[in-house]
Amino acid sequence: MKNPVVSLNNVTKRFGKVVALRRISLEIPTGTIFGLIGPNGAGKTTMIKIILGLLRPDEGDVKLFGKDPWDNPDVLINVGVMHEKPSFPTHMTCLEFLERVAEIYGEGKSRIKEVLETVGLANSTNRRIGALSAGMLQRLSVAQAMLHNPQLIIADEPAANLDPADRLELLNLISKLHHEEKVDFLISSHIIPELARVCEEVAIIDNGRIRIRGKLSELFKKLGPLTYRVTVSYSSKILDDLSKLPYVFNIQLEGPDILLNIENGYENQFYSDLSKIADQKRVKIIGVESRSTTLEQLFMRVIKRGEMIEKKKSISDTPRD
Amino acid sequence: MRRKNPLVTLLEIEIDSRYRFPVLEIILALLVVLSLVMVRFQPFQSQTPEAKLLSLFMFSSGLPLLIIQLLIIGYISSGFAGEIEKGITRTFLSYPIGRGVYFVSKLISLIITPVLILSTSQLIAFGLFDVKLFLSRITDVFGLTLAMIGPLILLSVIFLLVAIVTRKSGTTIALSIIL
Repeated sequence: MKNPVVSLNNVTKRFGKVVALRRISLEIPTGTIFGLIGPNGAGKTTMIKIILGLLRPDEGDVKLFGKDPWDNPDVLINVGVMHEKPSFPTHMTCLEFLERVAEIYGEGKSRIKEVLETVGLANSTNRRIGALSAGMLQRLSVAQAMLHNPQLIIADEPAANLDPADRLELLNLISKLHHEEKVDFLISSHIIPELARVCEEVAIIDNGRIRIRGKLSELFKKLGPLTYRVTVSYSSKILDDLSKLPYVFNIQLEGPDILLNIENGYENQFYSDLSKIADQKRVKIIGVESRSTTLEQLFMRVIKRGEMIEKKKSISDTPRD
Repeated sequence: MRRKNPLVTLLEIEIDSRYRFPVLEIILALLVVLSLVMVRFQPFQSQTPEAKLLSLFMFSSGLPLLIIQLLIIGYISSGFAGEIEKGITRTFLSYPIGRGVYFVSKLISLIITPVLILSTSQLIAFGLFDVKLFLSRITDVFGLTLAMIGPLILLSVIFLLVAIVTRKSGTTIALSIIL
């Protein structure tokens, strides 16, 4: 990959006995909106802190614009950061705070007015930060992150505190900054639809491991469509049996039909098992229809597959008497 | 536009945050006024210059020192442990500011500034008390001042270490007061 903005090589981070990141290797290319998806506690924030040089990995190398961020904090001049819970000195006004941030980056005061207007805080310049609502605080977080025209903005759960309207506005702003001002983004989130809207590439992280990464279109091609709608004469009769199949997940009734996801590679086995179960329960199969996969389903499938791999590994690692 | 030295910017933010209300100026004024009141007492007047100097030192290393000590505990718990707890430290370290620069700014604003204000106010009080004695015993006066601020700095550094380890403002206050 040509000059990746971020590169992690075999990064491991432990907090006491808890392993937060396990031998993570990842390169984030220039010119992209990269999504880091994972459930709570997967290691997303730890990874972002390591990328920013706020934490030091126990093993492995991290490079941000080709430099180790722990030893070279000046590399952060190219980076804007939006933390999960934005926290700024509460005694200052928005304007005072942004003036100080502008001084740190060597940015002119005219830019402050510009960003305050962009994020919709132009009327709150003289309000104390302590008096801002969660949504306004998030806007201020965007303002301080984009103040110095960075090449990369790292956003940790950027839409977590926002209402749907603000969330939509933020996603539009991210899209606009990327396409018009050529700002790259690394966005971590567990709210998948928001990432699906803006991200071009994603990595799914779970239990400290990168389960899968790639362009969204390629991942869908590789892993989908494996969502099925099964129409049978008496769906509740076979629901339990289907849910016991190890490669089936997200199974639910939708009206008279059964909606389910299956692991990639199990399509033929699924048809065979479905026929057997239907025969045993004396249920007539009316139709089986495959559907396109959403990013949410893709995420669930990857997590489930990861769990299966770990389960198999733990079984094979168990000493036999 | 040229980048301003991050240490200067951080100190400006710190001073603005910590010393917005003139607590230290009030302590300084009280110290000076009380010193002047004390020297008017008859028993004090009858003492030898050395005893007067020692009395004044004992006076200023009592209540004012305790107030400054408590103030430093408050500053360290809110300005250091509290900021780590709230995530403000994380915010500033996400800017191109080295950890060392950030720590130095905290050290200056939370410990060195109050200690400097206390020692300066004590020197001013000594000077106002008797200029001639102050000048003739200047080495003793500075020695006494250093003897007063030495343990204060040592304790403050211990409080800072407590804050670094606990990273919680409440725990820092509790442990510092116990210490």
